[in-house]
Amino acid sequence: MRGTMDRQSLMRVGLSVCTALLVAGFVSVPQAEAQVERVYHPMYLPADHNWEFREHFPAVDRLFNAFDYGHGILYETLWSEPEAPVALLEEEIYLELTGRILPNPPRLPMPEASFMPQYARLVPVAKEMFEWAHILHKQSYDILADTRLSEAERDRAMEELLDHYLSNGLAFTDVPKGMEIMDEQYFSKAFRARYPKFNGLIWAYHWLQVATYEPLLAYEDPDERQAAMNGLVTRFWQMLEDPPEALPSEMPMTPAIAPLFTERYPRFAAVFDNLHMMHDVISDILVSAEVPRSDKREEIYRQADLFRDPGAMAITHDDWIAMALAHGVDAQGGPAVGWLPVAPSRGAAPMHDHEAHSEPADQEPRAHGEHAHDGHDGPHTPAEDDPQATVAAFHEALAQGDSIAALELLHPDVRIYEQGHAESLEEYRAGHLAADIRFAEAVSRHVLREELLDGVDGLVVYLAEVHTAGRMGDREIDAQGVETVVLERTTDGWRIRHVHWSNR
Amino acid sequence: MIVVIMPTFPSTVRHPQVARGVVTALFAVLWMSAPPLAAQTDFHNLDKDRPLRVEDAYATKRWAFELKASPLTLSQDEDGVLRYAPSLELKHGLLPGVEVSVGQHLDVSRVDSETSTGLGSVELSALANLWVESRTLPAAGVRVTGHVATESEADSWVEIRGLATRSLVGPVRAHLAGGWMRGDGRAEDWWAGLALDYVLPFHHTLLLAETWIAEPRSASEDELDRTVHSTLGARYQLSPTLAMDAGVGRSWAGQIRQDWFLTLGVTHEFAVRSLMPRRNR
Repeated sequence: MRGTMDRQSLMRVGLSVCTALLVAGFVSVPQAEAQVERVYHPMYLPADHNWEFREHFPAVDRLFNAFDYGHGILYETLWSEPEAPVALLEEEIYLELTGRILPNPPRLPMPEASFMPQYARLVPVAKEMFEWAHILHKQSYDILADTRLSEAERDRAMEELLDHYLSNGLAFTDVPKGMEIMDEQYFSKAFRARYPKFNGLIWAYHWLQVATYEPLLAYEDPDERQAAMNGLVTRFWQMLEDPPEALPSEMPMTPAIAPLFTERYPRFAAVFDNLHMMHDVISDILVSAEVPRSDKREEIYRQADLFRDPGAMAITHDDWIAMALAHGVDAQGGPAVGWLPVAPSRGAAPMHDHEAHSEPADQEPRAHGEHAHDGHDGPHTPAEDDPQATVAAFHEALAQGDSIAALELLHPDVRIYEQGHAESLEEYRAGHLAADIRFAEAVSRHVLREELLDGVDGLVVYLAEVHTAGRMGDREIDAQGVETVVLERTTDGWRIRHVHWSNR
Repeated sequence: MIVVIMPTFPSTVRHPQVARGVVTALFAVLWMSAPPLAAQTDFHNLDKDRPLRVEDAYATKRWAFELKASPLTLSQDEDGVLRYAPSLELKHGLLPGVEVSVGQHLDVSRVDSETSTGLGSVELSALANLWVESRTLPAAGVRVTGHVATESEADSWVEIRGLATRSLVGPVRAHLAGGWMRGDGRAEDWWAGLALDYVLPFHHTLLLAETWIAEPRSASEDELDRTVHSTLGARYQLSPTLAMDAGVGRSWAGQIRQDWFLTLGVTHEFAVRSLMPRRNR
């Protein structure tokens, strides 16, 4: 009996000690008061198209799983090792990500709390906002990857998905935000200044995440889609070859990288831009010495509120598009489609030397399906000795969303005057081209009067008065304008040397 | 066409219609959860009895259903009784941070080459996550389970369970759980346990270990009769919609102790679109 009592006492003492230790370990109250946080995991929308993207594009899908890890390990490191040398992220973890994780990405999504536990404890609601938006990314890929859906069914599925996403308090608003939320707060740009290479890597992630939408809309043929998706992955790897030079130097924005997707699903595009902006904002808060460590949680939550508030720092749709394009498409990683080099037989220089071998040369963006053309020698090629046909073909290419054909008709030394700006070929391609395409697609153009004047040194001048009418977004267009085009004869035919547009 | 052959319950079953209803409902859900309703299961969740008794403090996802089947749960008591207790459970994320579940197991015992078969009680349970883990507090939850007896000689009982989950160092989490039982059908008065898990995210695997101690019902103060039990296990994500689990364990002390315990299970997560809300425009 005595032995039994001793063992019993021992067990009680042991249990008491264990309980005390566990309570102490479980509940730690360092200076701050107890933080009661309530948030829950919502289920994502069940549908026939679930896992379609994973099925058809497993390599890209797996990369996205690795991207989640890259984001998570960044925050975990910034929060849990604030005194760590720059080299920890810029060299050690960067190399681990690009040399080990990205080449062997996980086959399934990973619960983010499993690799960012300390950050998840700091701001569980913000962490959950990211997870919920990442699910929106994946489900929208699934819908667009499902070739069984008609366009109407696809649009309806996207609408239902967005409704489901917005149905709880974790959702980023679908109203675009101005760049000041990312670049003009007291802590802004701290992360990119201290970790330029890692910042470029995160932007390369964001580039691929938004670029992926474009081939799914630009191509219907499965082989073309597959080839385009392979091209995107190749392009992504090219970005990592010479960091940070080849990495994006501006945050990729959806209207610049994926204009087709933005045009068709602008609310999704706004959500994703807000998501990617908040990624950067949190990195800045975690790095910035302007935000004391004791205030970081509160500041992150303040930003999370801003990103969920449709009225906070909101901008109009047109301003958002202009803002995205103003930063230059190339600086953001380059367009997702339509960046092929021109066919070698045409003798023209590639638009992007560094992209020259990254996508099969027989790919053509379909733009809006019915306007597909079938090659670089397609229907837009103007008669070689007719400068007016060159101008007409240029406008036709814009109206069809065919950026390659439009760019081919521009002289390498072209100067384009538009809205008070003078742009070179590269600047135009990265700048106003996308907006011009959207405009030309939305309106009909009628030439009221035109004439051709002989110039000097083989140049001709095309003058026209035009009327444009249509609807662009919520805006009714009914305008008259003038157009001055200077053309130069080259060995490939007439090319546009100068354009000046003016509307009233 | 799917044909479900309903088992004929032994005459000792007190509410055969209830038992039959539960089994029918679970099979119906099994049939409904075909691939088109696929969703995502998370191996990182530590669910009750899959495979540990200790669970985490989090509820299943809002609007999600989880069907848990354990076709193989075997144990052998110290006195040589071999038990086979396959189980089926359906969980649903009914409200934010709140899940409800219904489950039942079959109870097949074999002693000295004599086999007896019965139905375990129907388990009706609700778990509420009180709060998630923060810097200062562990995640906390409370579960209430009603065990409704189906055998004529059995009685019902209720368990109230407290749960806490805390991230420790790196990929390790700790889970504390304890239950308090009341009702004539209970076998224990209370239990408490600690579990640790270690996540291997790139392998979609969770490694698990637990130890719990339980006070058998009507145990005398003078006797050292508490059960002390340990289990090792793992959860693994097979596909986006399927996770499996496995565990082995044994009891180290107590009046009712298991020489060994083995369980294998699978969890399928899905949702029913028509039960999910639509946003008011």
